[in-house]
Amino acid sequence: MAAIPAGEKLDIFFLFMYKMGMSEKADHLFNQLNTLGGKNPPLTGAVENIKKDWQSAFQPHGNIRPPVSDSLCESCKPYAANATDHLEKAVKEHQSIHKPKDFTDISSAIAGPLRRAVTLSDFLHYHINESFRGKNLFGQSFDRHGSIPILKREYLARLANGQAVLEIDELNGSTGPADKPNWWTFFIDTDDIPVSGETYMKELALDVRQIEEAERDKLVLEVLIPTEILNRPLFKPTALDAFVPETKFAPELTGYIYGNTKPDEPALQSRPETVGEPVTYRDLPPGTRITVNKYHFRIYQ
Amino acid sequence: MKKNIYSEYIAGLVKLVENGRPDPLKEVIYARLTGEKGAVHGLVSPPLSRDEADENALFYAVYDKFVADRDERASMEMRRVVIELLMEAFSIRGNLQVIDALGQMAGYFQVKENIKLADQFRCQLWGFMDTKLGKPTQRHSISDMMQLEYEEMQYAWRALDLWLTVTPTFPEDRDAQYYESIVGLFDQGLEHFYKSELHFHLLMLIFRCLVKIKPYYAAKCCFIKMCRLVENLDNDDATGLYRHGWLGFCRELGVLFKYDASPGKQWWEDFKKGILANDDDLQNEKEKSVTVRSLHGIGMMPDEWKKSDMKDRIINFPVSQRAMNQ
Repeated sequence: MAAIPAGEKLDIFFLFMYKMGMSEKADHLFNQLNTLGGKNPPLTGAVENIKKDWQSAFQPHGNIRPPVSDSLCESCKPYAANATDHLEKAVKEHQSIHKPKDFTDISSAIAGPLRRAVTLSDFLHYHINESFRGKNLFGQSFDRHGSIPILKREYLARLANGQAVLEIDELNGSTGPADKPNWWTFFIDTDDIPVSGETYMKELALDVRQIEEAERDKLVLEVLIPTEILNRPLFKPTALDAFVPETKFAPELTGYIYGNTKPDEPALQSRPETVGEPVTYRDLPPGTRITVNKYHFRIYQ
Repeated sequence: MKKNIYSEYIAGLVKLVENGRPDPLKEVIYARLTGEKGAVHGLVSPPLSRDEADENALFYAVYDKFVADRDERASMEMRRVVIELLMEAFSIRGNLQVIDALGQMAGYFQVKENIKLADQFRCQLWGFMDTKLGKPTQRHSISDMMQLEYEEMQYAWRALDLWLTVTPTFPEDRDAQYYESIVGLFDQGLEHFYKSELHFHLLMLIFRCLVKIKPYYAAKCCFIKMCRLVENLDNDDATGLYRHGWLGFCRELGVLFKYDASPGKQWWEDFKKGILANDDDLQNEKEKSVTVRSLHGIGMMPDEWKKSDMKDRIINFPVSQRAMNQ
C-alpha cells in the first residue's frame, strides 16, 4: 500500500475530526451549501463561515446551535443537494432578527450607545429621507431625493464642529431596511475612539463602495442610538446574519458574548459587533435627540 | 476600487453610460430593479451587500461618480434613460416598485435641471393624469383624482409625485396652465378627505406642488389648513405617523428655504409673505402644537416674526406636545 503524504494525512485527520463533530442530518445541508458555493463563487466565504460557525463536538463555541441548526436542517431536507434556490431563503429565515426567541439577547450587556458608521450619501438617502420601499407613505416623495444636494450642504454645515444633535422630526428614515439584520458596533473603553474615518470603516469591515464614497467625501458619519431607548433585543452575529456575497464576516469562536470584526489588515484592531432590528426614527420616544459624529476620512486632510 | 462583484458591476455601468449606449443601459437597470439574476449585456446584478439598503445605492454611486468628474454629458444620459424607463413603465401600468425606484433616481439625478427633458416629461405625465386614469370605458380627468379607485390611485399619486419632482421651484409663467387644476385638487382633497394613509399622502403631494409653483397661495391659503388637519389626525392617532410625516416635510422645506438662491430667492420671500398674511389665523393657532412646530420647521425665525408672544412660543418649544403630556 502506497504511503500517504504527510500533508494529506493531516487533511484526512481534519476531515475525520470534522465529520465526527457533525450530525448526520447536517450532512445534507452541508452538501447543499457546497453546491451553492460551487455555483456561486462570491458566496464561498459565506458558505465556509456557516460550516465554521456550526456548533459541534469539534466546535463547541459555534454560534449556530439548536434549535436554529436543527430547524435549518429540517427546512432544507426536502430538497435535493443540487437544488439550492431555497437555501438562501432558508438561511435568511433563520437569522436572529427573524427568530429572536431562538437566540440569546445580549442587550443588557451593552453599556454605551450603539454606533453605526454610514457614508454621508447613505445617511441622507436612508436616514434623513425615507427610502426603504414598501413600508409606508407618510411624508414620502420622490422630490425629497431631489433635495439631497441641498441637504448635504445643510448637514455638512451642522457637522462642521464634528458633531450634530438632530431632532426626530428631521429623520424620516431608518438605520437600515426592515428585513435585514442591522449591524451595530459600540465602544467598550474610552480609548476605542477611531484614529480616522478610514481606519474605522476598515476596522468595521464595511464594503468597498462605502469606503470609496467616504474617501471622496473625505468623511464618514457615525449615528448613535442610546441602548436604553432601543427597546428591542440585540444578538451576537452568526454566519447566518452575514450570508451575503463577498462577506467580510468571520465567526467569533471563543465563546465570547459579542461578535468581533476581523479586518483585512492585521495592524487594525477588531471592533465588537452586534445585530438587531433596524431603528425607524419615528418609532423612538418623542423628544429623543440623535447624535451624529463626523470623522475625517484621513487625519490631517 | 478593489475588484469584486460590486465594483465590477459599477465599472460596467460606467462604461455603458460613457459609451452612450442607452438601450443596453436601460435593460441593465431594469434587470436589477426586477431582480433578474442572469447576465444582461455581460453584467450580472449583484445581490444587496450586508449594509446596502436597496438596489438604487449602486446607481447613486455611478451618478455620484459623474457628478464628481463634472461629466455633464454622462449625467444627462442617466437622466434620459431613467425618464424613458419611467414612461414605458407608466404606459404598461408596470411594476410599482420599479416605478418607485426609478422615481427616486429621477429626483436624485436632478432631472429638473434639464429644462427641455423635464418639460417634455411633465407634459407626458400631465397627459397621463388627465386622460389615462380610470377604466378605459370611464376615463377620469385630473380633477377626479381623489375619487379614483385604490389601484388607479397607485399610479395617480406616483405620476403626480414625479410631475412635482421634475418641476423646478417657482417656475413662474411656464406653469400657469396647471395652477387652477392643482388649487382645485387641494380644495377637493380637503373637502373629500377621509382618514387614510393614501389620501393623506396625496394631499401632502398636492400641497408640495403648490409650495413649489404657487408659494404665496400655498402659505396663505393652505398651510394652516394642513396644520389643522394634521393636528386633528394626530389627536386620535397613537402612532404619530401623520404628524411625523408632515413635520418632516416642514423641516425639509426649512432647509430648502435657507439655501434658496437666486432666482428662487423670491420663492422663499413669497412663501414668507403668504405666512405673514395669515396673521389673524395664526393668532388662533398659538396653542396648536403642530402649527407651532411646523413654523419652527420651516424656519420662521424670530426676527422675521412680528408678534413677540408667538416668537417666544416658537423658540421655547423643544419637544412635542405629546412628550410634554407624558
